[in-house]
Amino acid sequence: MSVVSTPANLRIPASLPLPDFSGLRRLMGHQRSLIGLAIVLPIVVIALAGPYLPIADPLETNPTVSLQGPSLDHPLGTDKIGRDVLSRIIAGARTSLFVGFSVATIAVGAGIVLGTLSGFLSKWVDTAVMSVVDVFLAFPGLLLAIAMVAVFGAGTWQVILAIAISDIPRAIRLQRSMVLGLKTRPFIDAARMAHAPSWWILVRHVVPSTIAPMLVVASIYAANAILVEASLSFLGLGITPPEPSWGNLIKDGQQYLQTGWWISTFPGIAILIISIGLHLVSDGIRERLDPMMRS
Amino acid sequence: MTGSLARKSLQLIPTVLGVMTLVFLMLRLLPGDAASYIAGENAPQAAIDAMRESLGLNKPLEEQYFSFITNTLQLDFGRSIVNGRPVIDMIKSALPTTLLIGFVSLIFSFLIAVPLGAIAAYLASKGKGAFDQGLTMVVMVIDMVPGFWLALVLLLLLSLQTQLLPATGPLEWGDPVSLAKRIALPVIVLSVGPLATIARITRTAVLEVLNEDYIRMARAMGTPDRSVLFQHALRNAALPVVTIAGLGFGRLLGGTVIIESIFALPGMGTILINGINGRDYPVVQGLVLMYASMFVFVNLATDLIYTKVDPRVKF
Amino acid sequence: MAILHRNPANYRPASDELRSSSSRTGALLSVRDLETRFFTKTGTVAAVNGVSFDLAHGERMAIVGESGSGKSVMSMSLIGLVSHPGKVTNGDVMLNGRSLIDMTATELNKIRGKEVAMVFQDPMTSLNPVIRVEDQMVAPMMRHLGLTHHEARERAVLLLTQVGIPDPEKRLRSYPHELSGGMRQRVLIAIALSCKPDLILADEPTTALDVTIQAQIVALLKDLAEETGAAVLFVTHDLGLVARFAQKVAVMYAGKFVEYGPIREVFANPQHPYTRGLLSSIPSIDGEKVERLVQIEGSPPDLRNLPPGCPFMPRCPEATSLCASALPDLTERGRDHVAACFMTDPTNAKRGEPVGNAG
Repeated sequence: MSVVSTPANLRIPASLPLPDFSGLRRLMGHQRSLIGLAIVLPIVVIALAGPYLPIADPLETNPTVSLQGPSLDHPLGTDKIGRDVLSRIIAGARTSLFVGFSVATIAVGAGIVLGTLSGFLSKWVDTAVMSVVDVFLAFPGLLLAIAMVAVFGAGTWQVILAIAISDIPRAIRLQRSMVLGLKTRPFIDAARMAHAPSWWILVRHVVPSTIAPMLVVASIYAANAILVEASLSFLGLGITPPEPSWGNLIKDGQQYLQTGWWISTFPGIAILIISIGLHLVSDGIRERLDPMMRS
Repeated sequence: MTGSLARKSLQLIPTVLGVMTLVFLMLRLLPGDAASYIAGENAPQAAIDAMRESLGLNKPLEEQYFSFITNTLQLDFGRSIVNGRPVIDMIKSALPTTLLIGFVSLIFSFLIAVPLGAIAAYLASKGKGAFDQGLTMVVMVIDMVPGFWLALVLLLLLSLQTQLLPATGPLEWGDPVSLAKRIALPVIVLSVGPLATIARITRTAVLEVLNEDYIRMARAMGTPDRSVLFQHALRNAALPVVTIAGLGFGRLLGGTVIIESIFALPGMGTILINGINGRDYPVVQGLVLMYASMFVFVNLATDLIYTKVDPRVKF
Repeated sequence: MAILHRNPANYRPASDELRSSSSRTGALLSVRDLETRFFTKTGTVAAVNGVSFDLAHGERMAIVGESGSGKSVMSMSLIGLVSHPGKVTNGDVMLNGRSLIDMTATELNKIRGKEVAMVFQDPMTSLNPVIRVEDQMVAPMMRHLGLTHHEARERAVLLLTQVGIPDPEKRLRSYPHELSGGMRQRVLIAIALSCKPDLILADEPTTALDVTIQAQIVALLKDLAEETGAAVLFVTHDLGLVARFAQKVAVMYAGKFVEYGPIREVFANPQHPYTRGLLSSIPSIDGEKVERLVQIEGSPPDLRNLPPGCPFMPRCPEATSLCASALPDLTERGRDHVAACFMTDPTNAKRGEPVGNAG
C-alpha cells in the first residue's frame, strides 16, 4: 500500500488493490517499471505484428492435426479443429489488449474530467456526482459489467463500455479526492489572488499534479479490464467467436480439459503474464511518485 | 445505537433507490425494442406485442417506474419468462448455495490469511524479512491469476485426472462430508482473491501497529511476543482489515457467478447466466437487484462491526 | 552514592568482576561501555556510543540532552527494547547483579515491568486505544505478581488513587481516549509502579504535556519514588525541570556523556561548554536578571558521519584546533564530578588555535 509517505491529498485510497512488490524492493522503482514494460511491450508488439509473423494462420483449420500437444510445428498445441493455439493466442492478444487499454483510457479520461469538476465546482455539483457514483459503486464490479453486457449485448465495444462503466466511478472518486486535497493548498489561493480564472488554475495547476497517480491506477485498470473481459467472454457474454479473445479461447478448451489441456491453459498463462507486467509498471510509477511527492 | 443504525440506514435510502432506478433503466435502455429483443428477432409480431403487453412496456414510463419500485419493495420481481416461476422463488432456492460457498470462502480466507499476514509482519519487524517478502510476492501473483482459469486447472488436476473431488452433482445438505467435498474446489478458487487481499492488508496493518508506542509499552511491561502480536497488535490491526474485507466481499460475490457456472452449482450465479442467455429479463433484473442489495447490506454490516471493534468510533 | 572514581572510558571489566564490584558498591544498576547502533540503509548510526554509569537503590538520576543525543535510545537499550534496525553492540548492563545483555527474551520479559518499569513520553499513544484501562493495568500485575483479576483490579484502584486520579473505579472501565493527557500520564505512572519495580525509567514523561502539568507530574514521580524506594532514571531535554528532582545528572551529547556528577555540583560549576549553554538557556524567575537567554547555536551532528575530535566542536564557543583533532575523555573535575572537555580541563596542558565559534 502506498499510503505511508505520500501527502494526504495525493494518497491512493486503500480500497484499490494496489500491487506491492516489496520483494523487489531492492530494485529501484524505475527498474520495476522497466521490467514491467519489458513484459508488456513485447507482447503488444507481437500482438500488433501478428498477421505478419511466420506462424500459422489462426483461422486455418486442419482436422488432421486435431488436439495435438505442444510440438515443434505447433509450440502450444492445436485445438479440436486443428487450429494452432499459439497463433490464436497472439490473435486474441490483440483483442484483449485493445480492450484493456481502451478501458483504461476511457476510465481515466472520464475520471479526470468528472472528478476534477466534482471536486472543484460547487457543493451541489459534487453531491450530485457523488450520489450517482455511490449508486454505481453499490454494485460489485464484475456484476455491473455482466449487467451492462446483458444490456448492451456482446461485442468488443460493448465490452469496453461495460467494463469502463464499472471503473469510471472509482476513477472519479479518486480524482475528486485528490482535487479536494489540492484545492486547499496555498498555491491555489496565490493563483486566485493573481486573478487567474478558475479553468486556468485547474488545467495549469491542479490537474498536472493528479496525472501521475492516475497513471498508476490506469495500469491497474488495464490489467483488471483484461481479466474482466476474459471472464465475460468465458461466460459467453463478452467477445464471441469467431473473434478470438483470451477468454473465449479458455472457454473453447473447457470441454477438452482432459484431452487437450493446452487449449485452456496457455491463454490463462498469457493473462497472468500481462497482469504481472502491468502491475509492475504501475508499482514502478508509484515508487517514483513517493519520493517526488516527498520533496 | 439503534438510533444511529436507523440513521445510517436512512442515509442508504438514496443509494438503494438509485440502484433500483438504475436496474429499472437498464432494460428500458436496451438498444432497439426491448420486447422484440426478448421475444426473439424471429418471433411473429403478435408474440412480440403480447410480450410487450405482459412486460407492461406499453404503459407510460412513470407508471412503470412506480409499479416497479412498489413491487420490488415487496420482493415481487415478477415471473420468469422461460419457466413462469416467480423470480423470488427462484432466488430463494438458489440463495443458500451462493451464501454457503461465499461465506465458507470468506471464513477460509480469513483463517489462513490473517495469521500469515501477522507472522510476516512480525518477522519483518524483527529484521527477518525474507518470509515477508516471499509471501508478499506470492500473494501478489496469485491474486492476478484469473479465477475461472484457476478453477479449470484445479478441476483438471484434482477432479478429472485424480478423482479426488467431485466436479458435478447435487449438494447433499444433509451429509457434511459429501457437502464439504462438493464445495471444496469452488471454495478454494473463491478464497484466493480474498486471501491475497486480506493477507496483504493484515501484514501492512500489523507492521504499522507494531511500530506504535503502545506496543513498545506492552513489551516494556514484559508481555511475551506472542501475546503482543495476537492480543495487542491484531486488535488494532483488525480495523483496516474489517474495512477492506467488506470491499473484498464485492469481488467475492462477482466471483461466485463464474465459479457456480464452472462447477455446476445451483446458485444465484447460474440462474443469472441462464437468465441472460435466455433473455429472461425479469430474472436478470431480480438477480442484479439481489446481488446489489447483498453488497449494500454487507457494507452496512461492516460499518457496524467496525464500530464494535474500535471504541473510538461512534456509529 | 555510588559514583565511579575511575575514568569509565578505560573501564572494561569482565562480567564477574563487574558483578562483584557492583555488589561491593551496592549499585542497583551498573552500565558499562554501552553501545547501540542502528544499521540503516544510509549508514550506521551509533546512537549510544560508550556510556557508563552506576545507579544506587533509590537514587534519582537525570539524563539531559537534545533530541538526537541518544538519551531515549539509551534508556530503551537498558531493557532490550531497541528494535530493528537497532542493536546493542557492546557493553554490559547489570541490574541487581545480573547481566541484562546476556538474558534471553523470556528472562528479560520477567524483569521488564517487575524489576524495571518504563514511563513513556507520549501518553496519547502509549496506551492501547482499543483496550480498557483496567485490562491494560491488570495484565502485568497478574503476570508478574501472580494476582487474580480481582486482586489486581483492587490494587489498580489503589494505584490510581495514589497517582491522584479521582473516581478511579470509573476510570478503570474507560478507554484511553476518554481521559485527558495529564490523567493518561498518571495512568502510565501507575502502571509503571504497579509491580513494585526497583527502577523506573522515565523517558521524557512530561514533554508531551502542558507546561502547567509538567511540574505536577515531576513532583508526583518524586513523591512516589521516595515512598516506594524505587530508583529513577529521568531522561529529558529540560535541565530546569529536573533541578529539584534528581540527585545526580548526566549530560549527553552525540551518544556519549559529556558531563556527569551530583546535580548541585554540575549546576554550580558546569565543566562542559554544552552544559553551560544548557544552563544559561533556562529562564529563571528568581535569581539574577539575565539580559538575553543564550541559545546554543547550530544543531546536533549527523551521527552517521561524525567528524574526528569532539562532536560538540562545531557549536562550541571555546573550541580550538585541538578539539577538532582529538576526542576528549571524561576527566575528574571535583568530587564525583567528571566532564569531557580539553578546554575546561585544568590538568590539560595542550591548547591549540582557537576556532571562531564564540558569540
